[in-house]
Amino acid sequence: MEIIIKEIKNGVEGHFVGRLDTVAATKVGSEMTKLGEYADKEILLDFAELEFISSSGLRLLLMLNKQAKAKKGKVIIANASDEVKHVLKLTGFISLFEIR
Amino acid sequence: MNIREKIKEWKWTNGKDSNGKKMYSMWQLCLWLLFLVVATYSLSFARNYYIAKQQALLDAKTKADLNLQIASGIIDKHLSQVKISCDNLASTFLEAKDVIDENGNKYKKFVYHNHPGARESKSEIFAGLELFTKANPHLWGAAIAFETDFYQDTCPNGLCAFVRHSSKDVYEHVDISAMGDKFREKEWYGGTKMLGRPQWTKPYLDVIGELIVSYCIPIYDENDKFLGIVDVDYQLSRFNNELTQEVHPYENSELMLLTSNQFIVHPNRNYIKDKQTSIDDLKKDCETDNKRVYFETIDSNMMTVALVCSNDDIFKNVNEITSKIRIYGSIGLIITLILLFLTIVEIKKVTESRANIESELTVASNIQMDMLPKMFPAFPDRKDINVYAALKPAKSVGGDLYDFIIRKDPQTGKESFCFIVGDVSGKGVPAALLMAMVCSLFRDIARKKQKASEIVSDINNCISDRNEHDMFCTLAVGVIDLETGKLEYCNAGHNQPIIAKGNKAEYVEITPNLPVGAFGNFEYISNEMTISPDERLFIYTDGLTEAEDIKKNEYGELAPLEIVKNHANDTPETIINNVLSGLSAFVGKAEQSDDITLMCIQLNK
Repeated sequence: MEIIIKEIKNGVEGHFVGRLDTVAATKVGSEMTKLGEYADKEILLDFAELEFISSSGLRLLLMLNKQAKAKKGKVIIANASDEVKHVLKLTGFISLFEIR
Repeated sequence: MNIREKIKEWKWTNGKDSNGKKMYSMWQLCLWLLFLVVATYSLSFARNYYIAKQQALLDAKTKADLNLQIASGIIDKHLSQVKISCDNLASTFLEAKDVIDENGNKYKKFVYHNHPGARESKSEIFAGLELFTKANPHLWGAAIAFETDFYQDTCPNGLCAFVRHSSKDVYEHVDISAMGDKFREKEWYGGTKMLGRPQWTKPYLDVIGELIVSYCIPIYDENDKFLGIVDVDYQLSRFNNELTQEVHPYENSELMLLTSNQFIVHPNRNYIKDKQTSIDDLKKDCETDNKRVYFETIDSNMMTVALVCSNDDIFKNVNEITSKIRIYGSIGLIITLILLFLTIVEIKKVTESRANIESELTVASNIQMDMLPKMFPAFPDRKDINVYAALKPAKSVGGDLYDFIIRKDPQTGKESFCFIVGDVSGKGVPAALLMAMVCSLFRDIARKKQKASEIVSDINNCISDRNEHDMFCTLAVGVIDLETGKLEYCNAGHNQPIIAKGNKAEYVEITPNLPVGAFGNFEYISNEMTISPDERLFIYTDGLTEAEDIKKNEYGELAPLEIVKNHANDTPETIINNVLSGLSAFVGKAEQSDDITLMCIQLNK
């Protein structure tokens, strides 16, 4: 699991590669903190290469969303695969984020 | 096997793990480590010691050779003086001719020119010998001996004049021939006559018992006829002082000079003359005394210079360094031991405290698990409902839960069946704690609130209140009116349930809501439907669909759907058992990574 972070015009972009399962979720803490620093701006999560997301991964998204909400920023999920979208839908998380 | 047993096994025992593979205890590992350290240390120590000893032996050999050369140099110096003196004595009345033998070696041949009538008288010979011994005080004595017929006129046995400086200003004159003919068989006379050229004798005892060595020159007349011998004696004990002073490579080394059968020079004077010995005896003695002998034979007179050195002296430096290394090494080893011991104690402490925490949490989780209904049939005295559930825990502490109760609405008096299936995000202790919390909340809230959406909302509000870590839990909560079969189903981020009937089974679309714990005061929406007695409601957690085989293939949603469909007319217990056996056939030996919870409900009229 890898998260490639780069700054963009209105905030930050995180490019997720691989499987965000329970083990991976414990290892990407620093990247998530980095993304959280842009909580007052736009956080774009590019899920094009995200193969799988577990409930622990969803928890990371939830934490990020709460930070953004508190600082009036927003979290956008882009390019999610049908499977990831299905999980987001199933868990109701889809209502929390702007999906592109 | 529960985790408590696993930890116990891992701790300090030497047992076998669940696969029957042998496990090593920490103590065994530490002992092996210690053994390795000691073995490595000992090996390098032994190797260094061996090399140092070999080097010391080489040094000793070099040192001994040098000293033996010094010793034989001293002996040569003394003996060549004796030889020169003897040549001088012979030259006083004999003519010296240089002769070359068949081997090309040069030597002096002495010839007597005087006619027998003009030869020196007996007294003249004694007077000449006395003058000579006076001039050469380093000599023991000198002799001139003739064949029997040469002085027959004055001495019927032949003349053998010997002069010795016996004490201060006293010169002893002896005519040995007067004592008999025996001297003619001795080496100095007979041997030299036989050899026909000047020679050193082997060391021997003279008439008064002094150990001497002689240089002898044969005398010939002009016709090469043997006439007699000029002989000079040297007292071997004269070597003693100079040799022992000059030659001492080691503090306790001993220099010895020996003939083929006795000592000439020995630190213990009693050994000289009295003790029969040989170089081989000396070697044996030294071996038993832990000493070493180095020797060199002086060819001209069969003497052997031997240097006896004790091993203690030779290996003194090696032993000193070795004992230092031994001390430092021991200190190092003790430090290693202490560190190892401290590490063990630390590891043990950490392991034990971790084991304690984990076992206590496992106990907590076990207690919680025990609270889940495990007795089936769950309602043996009721015919209208048949429920079966199973929770297959993963190795690490997971966070799945299920529960169900039958309660009565205090207002309407209607009985309803209320169930919950949930999955806490993540694993481990935090998940177990949240799972325990949700279980307790359900037991409490389900008795007070009638609607499934209310129950979920209440649980959500309770958990999200102080949810600093953003833990959440997906829930499927349902309420079934036991009279009408009406089901109110609230889905908080959980997998969709399956409803099976006859030879059909399908996932039911239920409005998804956020999992509980994510946001407080979230408005949960539930769906309503009716369950008929020929239908089976099958609810599960994602541990089932996300189970993987060894090649990381997911079990998926279709396979369980197929199994439920095939058993749609069976009891909930049969359905669940079939799903479980289908699953285990799929995953094979792969380790289960998440809890798996299955629940199946059937209503009867």
